[in-house]
Amino acid sequence: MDPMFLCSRRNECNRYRVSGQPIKPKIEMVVKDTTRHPWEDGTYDYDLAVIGGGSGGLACAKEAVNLGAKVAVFDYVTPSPQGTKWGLGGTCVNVGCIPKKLMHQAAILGESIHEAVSYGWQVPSLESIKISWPALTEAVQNHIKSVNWVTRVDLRDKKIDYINALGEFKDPHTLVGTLKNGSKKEITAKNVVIAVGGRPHYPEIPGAVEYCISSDDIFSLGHPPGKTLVVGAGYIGLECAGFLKSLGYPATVLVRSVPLRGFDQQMAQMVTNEMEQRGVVFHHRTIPLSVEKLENGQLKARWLNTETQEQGEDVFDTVLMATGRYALTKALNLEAAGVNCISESGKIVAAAEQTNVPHVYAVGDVLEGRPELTPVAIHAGRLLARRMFAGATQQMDYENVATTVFTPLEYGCVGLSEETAVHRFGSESLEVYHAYYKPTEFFIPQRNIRNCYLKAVALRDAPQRILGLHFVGPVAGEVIQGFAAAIKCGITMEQLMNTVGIHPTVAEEFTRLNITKRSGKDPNPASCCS
Amino acid sequence: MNAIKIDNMVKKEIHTVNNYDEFNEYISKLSEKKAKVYFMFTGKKKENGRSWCIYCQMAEPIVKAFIGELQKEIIFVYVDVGDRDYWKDKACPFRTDARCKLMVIPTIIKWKGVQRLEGSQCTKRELLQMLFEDDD
Ligand SMILES: Cc1cc2nc3c(=O)[nH]c(=O)nc-3n(C[C@H](O)[C@H](O)[C@H](O)COP(=O)(O)OP(=O)(O)OC[C@H]3O[C@@H](n4cnc5c(N)ncnc54)[C@H](O)[C@@H]3O)c2cc1C
Repeated sequence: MDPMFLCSRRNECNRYRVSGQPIKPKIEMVVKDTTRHPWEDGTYDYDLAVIGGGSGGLACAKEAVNLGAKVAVFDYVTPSPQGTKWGLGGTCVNVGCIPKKLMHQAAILGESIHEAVSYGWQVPSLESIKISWPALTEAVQNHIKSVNWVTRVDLRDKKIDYINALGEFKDPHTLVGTLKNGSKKEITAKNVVIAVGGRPHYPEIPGAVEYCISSDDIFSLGHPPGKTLVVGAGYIGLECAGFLKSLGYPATVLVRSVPLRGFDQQMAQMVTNEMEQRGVVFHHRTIPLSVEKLENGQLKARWLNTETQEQGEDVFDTVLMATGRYALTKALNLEAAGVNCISESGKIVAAAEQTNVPHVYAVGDVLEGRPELTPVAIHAGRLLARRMFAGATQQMDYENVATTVFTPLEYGCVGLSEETAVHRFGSESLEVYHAYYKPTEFFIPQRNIRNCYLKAVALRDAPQRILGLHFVGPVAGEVIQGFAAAIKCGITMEQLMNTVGIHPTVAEEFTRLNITKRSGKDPNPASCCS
Repeated sequence: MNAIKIDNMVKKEIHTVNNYDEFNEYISKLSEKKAKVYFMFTGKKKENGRSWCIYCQMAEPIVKAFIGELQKEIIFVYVDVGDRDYWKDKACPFRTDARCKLMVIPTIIKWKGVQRLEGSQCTKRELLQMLFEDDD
């Protein structure tokens, strides 16, 4: 039989398609290839091979086997410059969301011990309360290891072949994996999903790679971090600086442009104000110049203020680079597959997760211009599997994805920032409702309420459809999640104001919003004189 | 402690402990041993020789056969967690012991490791295989 008839995508596949016209299979086309690939008789080892066993890749693989596909997953972690490595499951489980949230929780618990005293708890001696870094990292790492194990059991149980090897393309349907011991494993697959995610970027300055750590290392660091310099004020930088400071380690942040670029800047200001009031030091408009190791083992960092051209320096125990992440596409030998939709930053441009080579797809952080979040990768991966193997047509909706920054005072948001809304609709067409609020439980321990603030960005015309919701305060993620569903349903200000709150909570503040920025009225709570 | 079986070929040891005190005592003597130690927790056997816990009944022959064939230097310990009422008590020491973190029976754990199989996982040979694989 003509091999091309076996290809389910023969009408779309570029191998068999010239200038948009499905062409009649001709045997010469196959013969043209100098080598004959094992899969060209139409049989593949797998229906799907996934490169990258992280959030997106695993979700896609699991959904695909549930739909009856035969699936293999390549996952391999190249050690960080400092030598840190980890198990199956990707960034989120090993060096991202999970350890980050656990350390954030450790930080919050520490603060709660102090607050507990105001509530009447008798705490022996507050001065002696301090974190044991080794105990914290051991607990966190044990949790991660058990998640790695459960993930492996799950794959085995679902009969997904896990290949612990660095995968790359040999040709459009053949992948080669290099195992830790250097040996190779080759497989063929009808479809390939690229879900390789990204890794921390190091600025090109002396001492960066030699002496600095990144988020890949901090959660398993073998010694207490001590006084720490965090280079970069994206969410990862701020979260790390935040929990380190709360755990008792002095933290300094170098901000190149603005903190939390891409987020609502008024809210970002609240987040950094709170951190400053807790003692985190910020150097604005600065770039790092060098990191040098002193004889006593400490690190001397120098930086430049790009506005004043003034230089600054200080000595730290740890320097943590949080200057962005790059996609791991280089090692994939994408040319061999004919995949050429690569952006300048090395990410994959794929509108519906499909590359220019129709049977090669991509999900997760590796995609250009998509939110780099675990639930986004998971949802996109799952929907993709359904389109590949169940004839589904539903596409991933990347709009209105809620997210939370887990700084000491958390920031949760969904939808548009005020800046983006103004840019898209013009300020005349918008109404922004805002309020400062006082969480009930903040009164007794006299916690700082100055940065507890929320706002709703809505269209001005009735019924005022809401475009964005923003909240800085405790448990912001828990607050925003439900509202994200409301936004998905197209909630309006009218409906929000007609929602009865749950008292006493912080989330109810959204139902109480009534002061517009345009009115110029004081957004502070009525009884407030602070 | 009874039913000690030593397979001379690969120094496989199989033990049984009958209650929490024996379990504790067994662990206290364990430290010097080098071989990898695994515990399988199951419900007490009834007069007919079968556990009151149906899932333990299903798992045991499969695990037993698997261990029998396994060519590895391990110590495998069957732990009896007692009768139904004893186990169902939320304060049952097997449940509260942070070293084993038992939620269900049957459970097989690798001592001092994160590896564990719970419930129907214990009946799957390919998962048992993984449990005894060497990993880093
Ligand atoms: C510090 C930090 C905190 C974060 N916090 C949050 C948060 O709170 N909430 C949230 O939603 N998101 C958070 N994220 C982002 C989240 O981790 C990512 O969005 C998510 O992990 C992306 O999933 P992915 O499937 O695209 O890739 P990943 O999870 O990164 O998985 C990719 C996997 O592929 C492997 N791989 C790469 N190349 C190859 C190859 N050639 N062969 C084989 N394997 C390969 C990698 O080693 C990795 O295991 C955080 C990230 C970081 C760094």
